[in-house]
Amino acid sequence: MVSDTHSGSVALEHPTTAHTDDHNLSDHDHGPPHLHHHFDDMEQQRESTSLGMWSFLVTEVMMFGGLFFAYSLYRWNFHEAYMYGSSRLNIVLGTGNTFVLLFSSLTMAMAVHSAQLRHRKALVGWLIATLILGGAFIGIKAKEWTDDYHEGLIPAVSWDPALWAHHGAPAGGAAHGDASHAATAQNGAAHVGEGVGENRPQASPSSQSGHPAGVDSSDARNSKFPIADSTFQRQVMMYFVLYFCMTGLHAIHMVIGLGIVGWFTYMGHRGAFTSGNDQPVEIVGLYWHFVDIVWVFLFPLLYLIHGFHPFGGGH
Amino acid sequence: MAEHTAQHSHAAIDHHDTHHDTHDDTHIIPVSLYLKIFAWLMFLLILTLGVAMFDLPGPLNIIVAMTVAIVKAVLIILYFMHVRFSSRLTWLFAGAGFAWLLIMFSLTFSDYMSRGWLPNPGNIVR
Repeated sequence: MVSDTHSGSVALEHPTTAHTDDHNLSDHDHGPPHLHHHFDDMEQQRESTSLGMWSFLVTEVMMFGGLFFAYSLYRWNFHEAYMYGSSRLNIVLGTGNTFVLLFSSLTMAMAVHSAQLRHRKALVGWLIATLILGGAFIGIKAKEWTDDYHEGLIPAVSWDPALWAHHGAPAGGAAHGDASHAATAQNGAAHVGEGVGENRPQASPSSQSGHPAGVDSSDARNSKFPIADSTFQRQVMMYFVLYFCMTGLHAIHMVIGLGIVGWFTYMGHRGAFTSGNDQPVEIVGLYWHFVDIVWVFLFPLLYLIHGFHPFGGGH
Repeated sequence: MAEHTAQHSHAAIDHHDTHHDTHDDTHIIPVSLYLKIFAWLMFLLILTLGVAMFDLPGPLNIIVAMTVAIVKAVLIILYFMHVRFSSRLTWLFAGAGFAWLLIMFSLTFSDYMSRGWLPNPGNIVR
């Protein structure tokens, strides 16, 4: 009898909100309000929801996988250019980002845990912590990309190999602002979008405004790479195209994740996830951990090709 | 089966009010385990940097780096993503992603290699 009522009424009123008006338990013994009609019980719903998110994550693995393949292929072909490109990234910031993301995975796992235990305030706290850490990641990325912009490393946007000789990052360091502004403005539009051009003379007036210590180490490093060679420059461009595509796609995923976590912070505050319906938090957690895993692979592949020499050691 | 479901959900509804019900969740992982995994992840991060300080012979650099990354990923998948305590079906889905990735890499790379399009490592001019 219960099953008859059950199957008869399902087709007509599918949104679960319809149930909350009708508290006649003998009609709706189906389960708690957040158990959808098309599932027999919570366990089945839980499993299905989780598998749905895993299916999506599998498609994401393949999407990033394609980029990782392209990266691998060109790393094999242009190893030296990759080493140079990697040496121009800021390992300190990259490490900081890795730490921030791993920490955010912990706070996200704690948020899921709180939802399972129905601790509303703890849930909101952990979600906010996740938001802060994710925001920190995006902020650090913005700083890195701004530095790359000023150093002439963004293909089609601020690509200027002439800047490389003078602003090669000192061991682990970031760009130094003013001189690069002047140089970029001077070299102008002719270099935007064309990776190559003729071999440029190494010295130009604007570059003399120096940071002596930085220039020394950058020259020492730069002298090991044929950065004036146009083919080499093109290959370095390949590295940076992949760098920005991969970290850019990753950042887009982060921003979307932050949006969802922010929304869930609000909903969680209103108690949506602490009355037994902890699943949405769980599956957003799955998404978040996936984004973290992508970064765990991106970091060594993009930043550490050239090695890690914090004490200014050899190359 | 319908009666059983009805009974089951009656009892479930009663329990919902009094304490957290775990009968429809496979496992609630203790906080201490999360913290242990996080400590391991931090150690592995330091290891990643440490290994990068040395220039290992041949392809070992990339092999070691990727091994460390894979261990980190496996820890996150098994514990933070709860796969260790999930059904075989979940394991299958999670594993399938990497199976397809493996297929893409191995087939595509073998395509390149069999055409002789991959030069000796380190060449910058073909």
